[in-house]
Amino acid sequence: MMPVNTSDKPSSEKPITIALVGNPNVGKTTLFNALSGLRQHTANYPGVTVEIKKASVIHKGRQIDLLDLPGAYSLAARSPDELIPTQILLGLHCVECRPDVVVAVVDATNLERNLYLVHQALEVDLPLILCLTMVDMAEASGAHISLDLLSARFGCQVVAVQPVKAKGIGQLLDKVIEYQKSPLPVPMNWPEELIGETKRISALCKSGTPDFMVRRALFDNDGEAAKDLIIENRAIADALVISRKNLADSGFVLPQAESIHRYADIRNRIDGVQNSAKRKNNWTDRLDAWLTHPVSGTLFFLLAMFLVFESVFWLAAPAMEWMSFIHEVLADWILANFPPGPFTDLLANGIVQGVGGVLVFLPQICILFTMLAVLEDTGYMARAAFLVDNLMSRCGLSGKSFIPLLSSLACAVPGVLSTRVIEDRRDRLATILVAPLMSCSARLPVYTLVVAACFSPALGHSPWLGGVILFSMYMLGLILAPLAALLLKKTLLKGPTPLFVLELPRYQIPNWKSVLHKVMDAAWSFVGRAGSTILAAMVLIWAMLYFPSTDEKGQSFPKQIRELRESQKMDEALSLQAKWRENSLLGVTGKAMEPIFRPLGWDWRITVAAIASFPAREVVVGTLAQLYAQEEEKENLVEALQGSESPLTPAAGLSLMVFFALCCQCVSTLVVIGRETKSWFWPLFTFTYMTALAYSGAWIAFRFGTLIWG
Amino acid sequence: MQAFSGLCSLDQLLPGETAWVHHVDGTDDLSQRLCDLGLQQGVEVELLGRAPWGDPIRLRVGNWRLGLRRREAARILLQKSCPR
Repeated sequence: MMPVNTSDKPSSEKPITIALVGNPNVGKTTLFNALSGLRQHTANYPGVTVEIKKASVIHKGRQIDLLDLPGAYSLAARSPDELIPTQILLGLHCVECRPDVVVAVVDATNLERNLYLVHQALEVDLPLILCLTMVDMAEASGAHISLDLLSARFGCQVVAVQPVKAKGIGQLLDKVIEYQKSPLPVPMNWPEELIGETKRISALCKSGTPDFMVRRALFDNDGEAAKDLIIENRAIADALVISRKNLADSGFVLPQAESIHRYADIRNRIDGVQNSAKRKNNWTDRLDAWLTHPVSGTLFFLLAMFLVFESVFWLAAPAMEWMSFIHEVLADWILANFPPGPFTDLLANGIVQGVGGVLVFLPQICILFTMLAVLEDTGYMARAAFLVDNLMSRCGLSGKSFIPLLSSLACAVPGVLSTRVIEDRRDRLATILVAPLMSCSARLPVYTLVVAACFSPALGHSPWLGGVILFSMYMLGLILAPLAALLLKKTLLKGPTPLFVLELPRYQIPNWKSVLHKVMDAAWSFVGRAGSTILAAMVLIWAMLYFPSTDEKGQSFPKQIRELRESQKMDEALSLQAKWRENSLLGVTGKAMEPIFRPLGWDWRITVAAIASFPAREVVVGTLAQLYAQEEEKENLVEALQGSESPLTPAAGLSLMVFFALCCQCVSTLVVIGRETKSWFWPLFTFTYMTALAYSGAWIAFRFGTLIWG
Repeated sequence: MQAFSGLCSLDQLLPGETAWVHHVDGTDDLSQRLCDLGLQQGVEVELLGRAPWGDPIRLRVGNWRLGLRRREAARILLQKSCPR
């Protein structure tokens, strides 16, 4: 990770680590991006299951390391994930990486609620800088905020920033550098009873346990902090029950008491800090009356989703065609101009095809993420989630899962990446695990090929059958994904329904820099993360189709084929090539596995093609072309599929399509699932359950097809 | 709920109606989370609208707007007259 140099060279002084904390939707990520710069490579905080971005900047010769803690309304923790911010702030997670300063990002238009989290953070014994965003909006609504008074009341530095316009960033970094000069902030005075009970519990904990952890253990009944302490000493469990009862007897009734005391203290502290804003029925409310209305809101929603989906599907199509055209031309050029041999073949058929296979997804990822970033930055995304929440809650998810699933109809990779908006871990996992069931655009070439080969009117089928089958393939994913989600939420991801709090932010004109940042983030994370794996898979497939390259007499296949071609013996060249493919590692594997796939109605060629496309399903068309076109000299693969000695029957075609619709034949998706869930279990699980589902689905489809078409 | 007669829960509010939070019912983490969000005694709440099928509901709490499911809104008990 190379720090961005904003001024002069770094000094040898120890870097300062700052932790950004704040509620969701306060511009914390925008501030992080403004601090770290557009081209800054961010890393993830190691060893934790939640996404915590890290970056470094150099300001006035000092290196400053930034940690972006997950947005939250409170430090109360009911799951290990929710306790991580507290552990990081207290240095319990890793002592040497404990932040030096807390930068609390606060929305000036909603001081009271935003200060709740800050109020908790006052107690972690770290210097704190209050960083106010949206001060301009607060001022516009007539609420003037006295920064000096706020600073005095909380005993900490206060800075107003406008991250989108990069205003106040330097000032913030100046204050960070001077953090040692500022005193620790002033936490609230808890009632005597609570102090007493905290001491009682503390005595049972190992020495050095911060009081804040003990209070969290008391406040969060069945919470994660209590679990952490009980592991050390089982007696704490009973002591906590007694302490809570003592507190309740003295009028400090949990769980409400913490917030009652804190909000009372916050109100005292901000009294007079801001003159009250005029109540305004602003245009957000007026717009919302239309955009969240059951009728007009639903219509607008359908229109918006249609536009998003169509633009991804059709705007990206020319760019994708152009990209595949380029890599085909390049591959042909290499084959024609380089000396023949395994290396040239690897370059043209392995590497160029592999890189092309990665880059071909880039246009739709960029277009989709532009649309999503605009929807999110305008504030519409939250309204969309509001409108479909009821529908999604029927399959155990929330409205926030809708857009990731819709995106997966274009490509599961951006779909899985866009699940980051779902705060609840179980909901997010369920969405990630079912997203690859949605029919992505890479499946479409397979569908159209098989429909043309098996269900075309030329074969005596009704002219609308092809369309019906294509539609059914999409419906398969649309129906099975919610069912699978429901099943997962009832079994593996069982747990209490999380509180659904959907903040409806003000409508805003999106900022192009923020949109660009999100698009670049998605594009680079795809090319960088998945690119190398796809490439490796493509090279592996190439090698398995190329080797062994000699026949039983030790004669080189490519050399013999070249010689036959040069002497114009095309038929012999083709049959030799087919023999080569049949004897290749992949051909042998396919033949060995044929019995497994025979119940699905597949012959060895289809089996080989399906196995070859496990890393990336778009490979299937190319592999089929090789296996068939070399057997029958026909340019058109459709004709080859219909015209070969053993043509693809409609039943086998249907089973092939169903298999492709339900199987996770996509290394990129699996790699991205692994990265996002930070575990190799979940991609393995996804692959296994989807393959089982695909096999059973294809078997049913074959039986069904045989019944209808014989 | 005899001790709190005269209170209604948030999910019973009609669109456009305003009321004031009295307390959040319950002892589980759900009530804690609602309390943490600032649903405190005396805070003004307005029901702005409902999603299709009547759920979730759209609220104004003080100066911010949020969507909440009815099941959770039922935890929040309101008084119809201004406490201040």
